[in-house]
Amino acid sequence: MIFASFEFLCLFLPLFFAVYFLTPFRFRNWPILILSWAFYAWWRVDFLLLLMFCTIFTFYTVKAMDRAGPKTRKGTTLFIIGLVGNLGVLAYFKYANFGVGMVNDVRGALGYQPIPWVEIILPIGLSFYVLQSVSYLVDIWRGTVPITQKLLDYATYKAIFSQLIAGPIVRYAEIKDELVYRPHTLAQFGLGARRFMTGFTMKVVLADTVALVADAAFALPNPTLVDAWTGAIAYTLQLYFDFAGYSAMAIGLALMIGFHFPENFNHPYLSGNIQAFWQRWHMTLSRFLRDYLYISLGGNRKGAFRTYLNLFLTMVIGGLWHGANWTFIVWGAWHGGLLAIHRLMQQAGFPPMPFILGNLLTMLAAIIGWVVFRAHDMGSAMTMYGGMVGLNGAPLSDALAWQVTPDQWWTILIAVIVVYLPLLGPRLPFQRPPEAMGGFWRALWVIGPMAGFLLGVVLLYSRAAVPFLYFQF
Amino acid sequence: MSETSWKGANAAAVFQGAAAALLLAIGAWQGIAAVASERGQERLRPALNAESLLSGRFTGAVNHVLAHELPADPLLRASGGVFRYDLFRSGGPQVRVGCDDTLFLTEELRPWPGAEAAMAERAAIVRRVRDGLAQRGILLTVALVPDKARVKRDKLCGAPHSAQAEARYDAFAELLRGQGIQPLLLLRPLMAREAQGGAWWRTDTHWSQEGARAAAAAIAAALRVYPLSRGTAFRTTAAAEETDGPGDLLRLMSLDRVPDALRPAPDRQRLETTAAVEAASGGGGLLDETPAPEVALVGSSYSVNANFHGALQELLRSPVVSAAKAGGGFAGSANDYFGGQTFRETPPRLVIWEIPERVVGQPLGQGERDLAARW
Repeated sequence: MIFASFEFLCLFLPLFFAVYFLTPFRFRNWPILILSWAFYAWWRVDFLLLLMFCTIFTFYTVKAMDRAGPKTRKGTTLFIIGLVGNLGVLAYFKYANFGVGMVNDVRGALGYQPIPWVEIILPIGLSFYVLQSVSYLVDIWRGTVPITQKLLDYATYKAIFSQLIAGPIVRYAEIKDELVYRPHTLAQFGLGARRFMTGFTMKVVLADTVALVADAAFALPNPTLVDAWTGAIAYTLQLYFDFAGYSAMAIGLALMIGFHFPENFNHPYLSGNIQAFWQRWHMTLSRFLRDYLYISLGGNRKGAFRTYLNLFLTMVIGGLWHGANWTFIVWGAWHGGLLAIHRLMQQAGFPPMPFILGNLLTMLAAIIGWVVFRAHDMGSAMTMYGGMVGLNGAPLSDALAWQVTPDQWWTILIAVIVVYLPLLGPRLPFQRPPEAMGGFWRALWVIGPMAGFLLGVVLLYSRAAVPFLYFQF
Repeated sequence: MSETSWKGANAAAVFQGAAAALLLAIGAWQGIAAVASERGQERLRPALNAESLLSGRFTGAVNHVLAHELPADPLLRASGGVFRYDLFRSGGPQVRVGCDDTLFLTEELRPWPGAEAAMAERAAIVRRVRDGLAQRGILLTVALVPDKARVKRDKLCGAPHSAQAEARYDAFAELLRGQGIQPLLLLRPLMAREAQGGAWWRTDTHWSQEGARAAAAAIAAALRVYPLSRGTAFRTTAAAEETDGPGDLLRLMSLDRVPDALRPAPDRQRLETTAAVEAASGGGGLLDETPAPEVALVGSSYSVNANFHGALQELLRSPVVSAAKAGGGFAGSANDYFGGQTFRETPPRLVIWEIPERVVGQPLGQGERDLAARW
């Protein structure tokens, strides 16, 4: 089930809130757990068992590790078992097809028969809830977070439907107190609803509209320069508004039931350099990679060469986390390389670039990266890159022109404006804090998200729903 | 209140919370009504079993019901159309808006993959049909209907007309000639009619009654020398009251049921009907003294719309059996007619095959393959 669907808006969500708020407070984790599992099972009933297994396995492994003492030999062994168990599930479901495919390629090249193999379906949200398990295991092992003794609390933490399938990657420590006690007020419910509606608008009104342009451009066999750049920019906008919109919905839904989730985006396309971009894009993943991978690899504590290597490796693994495909590895390597170059320039004493130039170069790098990220394979990516350098001519092709409607062109423009508008800051009345707004803008501030939401509902109904991009990861 | 220090922030948040609760209640009402609706139940009941639950068929059925059966369905669809048109002058994916609210079907404007091969195959099919009919002593006349975008080119105003679509009419005519078929090109008479005003509706993809009559006149003129028994007089009468034109493109924009102020104004027409004014002389069969029509019309929705069939009968002065089919495209109607009882038992002397330009470059479907196999 996706947030931008009518079964969610018209059946699940009203049912969830009715059951949740009618349940006495001290039992309110139960409706979260049960209905979140139902939410998950809506997609595939059988994969709910996998989520349950990961939950129970991690909970009891951590409990045993805690009993043994995390830093003891037995505790460390249990820690490793916990890691291998979780990452093994991820490896099997996410990377086995890729691995066997590569082995078969080699076998084919050497004249051997391929290994018989049935394609494995990736359970939705697996990458996210496995990372949660890993963070819980590591935090308890490191002793930075106290263990929970209640399976219900841990299972609820993992299952909360708003973050279950596409993040943000919430750490146990961030909501452990709220799992036990969280106040509920209508005002907080309203703020959560506001956030949800804003995210819904971003996803349905902006992302899903420009998605149609991106899909059309990426499907062209010979994109021209204008086609390819149109497609690449449309996808750049789609990905941001889709994922940031989804994160806003997740954060808003959580707030409606009293949880405070971490932010996941902070205007990443307003970054002046690639490092700032990664500090603002998918922040819960970035900090996961930093805290659990980069630091575990040695971070910047083992000399310059290892620092660059760790940076590069972290991004490559981060790329691979997005999917078992060479395109993601290349995308990770591209960003790892750019981060290394940026660090090298910093170390060499290069002065920071003027913002406009820095942002232009950062966005150019991001767009180039998103092309390979979006492409099905390296061949398709090269087709787009060929178009972007004008190998197939320059003007907008007939093959794309007929597919892009005026509202889609306008939405691309509006989305770009929405991205860059915050640069003007409080010079625009609607960007001031509400206390500094005039009456009209304040009224708009209050009802704007609702109007956007209703527009989103209208658009959602009048066209087929486009699934969230990050579900595939 | 962490977001702001504004004193009314709490009141605003409470208001937003209450509004969200209201929206949730409305959503629940819509969802329950959709699920409980007759059509919703029809779709859901068969999927309500363990096997469907496990395979995802049940959730698919729920999804479908909620995407199509909400009580607010007409309002939501119309609102989407109004938003796209009134804010962006956009007709959505299926319609392009030209100037003066002239609407065009996107299908006419776009390029089709493999169009050249498809056109060549279709031309070959026409030749096979022509040859097969000739063996039975039946003459085939092919009338090629140009796109609205070709006739109303000056109203496109930036709507992207692909180079392939621009060249399609002449290219297909040439392919037909290459197969030894001289098509009846309706472009010129329709352009002439358009110059006098209105060969096509603004808000419909088809020709208007005037355009249909001009096309029928061109066909009748081309068949003047063909020896038909032209003993039947027909008279066309127009309705006293003006009514809205068909406006299929408004329907594709979800604007068919919104106030005129929010959409391109519908075309207006005095609906024409044609009827025979005198019986044909001579007997035809044992129990039926009316002779079987000598002319058959196969074709697309163009032949079905705007009283084209009536005008054709009137101008030919001969009854025409119409096998044309809305949505029939290139082969649908021909397939049904040539495979049917009417053709088998009372074959005509002349078949008029109306072919709309916009379908000839599209990928071949099963209908075309069946027609090719039959001949």
